[in-house]
Amino acid sequence: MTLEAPRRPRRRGLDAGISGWHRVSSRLLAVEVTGILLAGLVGVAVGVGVGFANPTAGWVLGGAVAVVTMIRLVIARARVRSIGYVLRDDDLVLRRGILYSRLVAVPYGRMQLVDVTRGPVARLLGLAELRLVTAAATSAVTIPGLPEAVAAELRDRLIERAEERRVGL
Amino acid sequence: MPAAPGGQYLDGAWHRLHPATPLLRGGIGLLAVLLWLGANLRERLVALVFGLPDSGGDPLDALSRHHLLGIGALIVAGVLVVGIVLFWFAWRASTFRIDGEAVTVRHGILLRTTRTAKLDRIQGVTISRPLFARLVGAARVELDVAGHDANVRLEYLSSGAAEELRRDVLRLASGQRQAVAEQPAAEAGVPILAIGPGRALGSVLLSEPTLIVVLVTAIGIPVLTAVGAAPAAGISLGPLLIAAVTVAARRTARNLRYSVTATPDGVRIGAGILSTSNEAVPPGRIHAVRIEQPLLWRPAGWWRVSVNRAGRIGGRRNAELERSIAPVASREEVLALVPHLVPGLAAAGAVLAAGLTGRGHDEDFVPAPRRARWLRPLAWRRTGFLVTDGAVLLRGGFLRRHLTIVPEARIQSVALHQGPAERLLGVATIEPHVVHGPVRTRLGLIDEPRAVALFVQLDVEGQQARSADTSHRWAASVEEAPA
Repeated sequence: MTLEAPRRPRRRGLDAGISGWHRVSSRLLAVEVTGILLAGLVGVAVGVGVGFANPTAGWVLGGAVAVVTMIRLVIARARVRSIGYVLRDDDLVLRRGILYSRLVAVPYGRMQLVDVTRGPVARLLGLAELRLVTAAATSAVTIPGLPEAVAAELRDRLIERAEERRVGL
Repeated sequence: MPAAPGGQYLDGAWHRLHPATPLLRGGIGLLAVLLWLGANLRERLVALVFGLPDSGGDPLDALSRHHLLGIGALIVAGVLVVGIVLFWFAWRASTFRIDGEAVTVRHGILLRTTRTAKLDRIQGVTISRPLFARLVGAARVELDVAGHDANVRLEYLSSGAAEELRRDVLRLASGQRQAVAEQPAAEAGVPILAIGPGRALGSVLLSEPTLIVVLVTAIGIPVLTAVGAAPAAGISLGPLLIAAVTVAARRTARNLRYSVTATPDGVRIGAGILSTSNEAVPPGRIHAVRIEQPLLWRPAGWWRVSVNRAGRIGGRRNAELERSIAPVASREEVLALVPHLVPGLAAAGAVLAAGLTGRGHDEDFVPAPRRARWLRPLAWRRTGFLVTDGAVLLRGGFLRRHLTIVPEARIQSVALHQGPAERLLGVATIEPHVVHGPVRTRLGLIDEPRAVALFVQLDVEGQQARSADTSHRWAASVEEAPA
């Protein structure tokens, strides 16, 4: 199993002139949408609960939840497509976000931990999430929406490179 | 105690702790049990003497009813004896050893535990003397090791032995050869920071909490008097004032005994009045430095210096102490201190000065573009960065000036952020990630192309700096440095 051929996400936000971005699986969209709908459902349920006590407040709350959920659904696709990662010679670079874009470079030698996790919905779709941890809590980086085989391969490759270049703190 | 300092612990053999250890570790617990028993028995003694009716119900009553008091006393005495014997065996079983690689501590009889602190992972060595221990001349040595709850403690050693142990550990960690280490080394330290009484008091009085208390009092009393609630005002403000004065007094006292000394093995931080502690921080263990000046301190020219270090995250007794390495320092003291914290900056006095109080292009700082004023109308003039001598300096703050310094060799990863407003103005935020601590290392308002260039530069130079870095074996000559 090899990594998917690099596909360049649409040019948006920061990329620091780096090319060869890998994109995550488009099935991640289903995971995201499920999450958004569940959160919306909970919000609406709360709205209904409040509505029994105070109908006006219930409608306002329910309406707000509905609007937020709609917006999140609309931008979900773009958000998933904005996630990209590159394995370079000495580091892994991750980018994500459209409105708030973020670009992080994690040198292999600094990685303390590489973790693969699977949420319930992601597991149904055969997806996994890769998490990299360095000694700095702020640089915890996650790459969601990797097909399981890719995630496992990536993890092994990262661990191997981290071993090669291990440095102290 | 040998007269010649050093060397005693370098033989690689197992050593014992201070004989008073069981008393100091368990003694307080024992004392508490005795006090508790005493408090409970007091009523019983009273009843015995005055012949009050037996209320019944507790175990002692049951015992006396069945004429088993003697046996009960025997059992208690037996438990005490067993406890003391166990403590003694535990003391016999607690030993430590230093070899060329690590400090190892083992203790426990049935459940033997062994803890190892690798020398190159030691972030600092603290000698603390809690009041009780101090009375019998004992001290606790704590080796700060990177990682949550990974510290190795040696409780207790005699004061002299503790100092000697620390010297030996630091000397070995520095990468010097044992042969060299056996010669008595100069322990000369240059005091960098000693806070006089005026400054200790002034720095506390001129702080935001004091200001808030003064404001609340100044507004509260007239208002409450005006509505005719003066007695209530006194009652409600009294506790607040007492608490504020207590806190202020405690802080002042702590700062009075606070000192920072530079030695070849890094800086030493001493603090405390009744329970004292003295901490040695070897070079290369400081991941970020922040120098800041609260607005109220500006007329006095005082600064506070805080640092991020690995291994000091969980379970510290005195969180206040670790928040700042210099709670209040003059400009000269800051300029003297920082090169000891970030070794590369020894020759960068002018740059540091520009970082503290400068603005715009001073000393080649790269300032924020003028259009950034829409986001931060005041602070944008001060905002700027500079990469020099293996460190990145992030300058900012208009009312509360601050300068953050990150050694490139300590950068874990680098991030670049941009929100919608920043995108409109063509600026971005850079954040070199370092280990967790009070210092937040991020700087916004940087011209986007420059921010991207800085991102790439820090990414590349951070890795180069780390591979060239030898500060974990700071005193080793080049040939001796491990490959």
